[in-house]
Amino acid sequence: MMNINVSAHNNVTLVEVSGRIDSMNANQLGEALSNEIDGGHIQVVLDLANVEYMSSAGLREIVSALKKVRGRGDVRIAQPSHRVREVLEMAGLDSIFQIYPTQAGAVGSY
Amino acid sequence: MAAQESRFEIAGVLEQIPLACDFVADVARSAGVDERGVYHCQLAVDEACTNIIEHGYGAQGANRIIQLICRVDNYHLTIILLDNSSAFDPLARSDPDPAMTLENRATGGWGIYFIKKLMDTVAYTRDGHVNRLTMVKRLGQPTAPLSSYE
Repeated sequence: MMNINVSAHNNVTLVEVSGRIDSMNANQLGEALSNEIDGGHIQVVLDLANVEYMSSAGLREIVSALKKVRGRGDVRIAQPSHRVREVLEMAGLDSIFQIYPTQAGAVGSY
Repeated sequence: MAAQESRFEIAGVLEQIPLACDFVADVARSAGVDERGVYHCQLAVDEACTNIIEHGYGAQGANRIIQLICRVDNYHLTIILLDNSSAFDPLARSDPDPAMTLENRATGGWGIYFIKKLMDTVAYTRDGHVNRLTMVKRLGQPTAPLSSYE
């Protein structure tokens, strides 16, 4: 089960995800991010504090979102859980995404 | 101790992958694997099953099965996945490069890459009409983090 909550904070779009991101539902995350970016919301913070599990399917979607927005905006990651952080580092994405330990830090970075 | 064996089956559909993960997690915990190691096993099984379903069974997955066999001895947890899709060696493909830039990153291949990183050994064989993926986790030692974060 995965839940996605999208909210606006000035010019920043906060996408808070909770639950499990796997091959069954990763496309939903991808669609949510894509919809925001297509709508012109190109300063995105993806809060993964409550994501207990993420497989490569989830990584594929967030990389796709970053590619979509790169050059005119960004997707930044806030407070990934230890498990998510491990997966991000395994894929080398910690050097591609800006990752912040707090939501406020990520939102305020724009 | 003599090896203990547990078996489980799922249909070849994505919706049943969590069941396979739960099965492996239970076996891993019973074998004394720490929580990080349990997560590694779950993720490896998730990635392997996803590959079988998406690249092997495709739309016919509901009528096909993935068999899981877990064997525990004093030193190892061995997880074997069996499927009867076309012969495909997932280990034959070269690994994507995690150091690659965003623009040049490979889209695919990350699932198998994860499996190789998460498990201590991984091997593929073709037995008749069956693909056999064997993944082994060593027991008796704390699971090292793959991240510098901890």
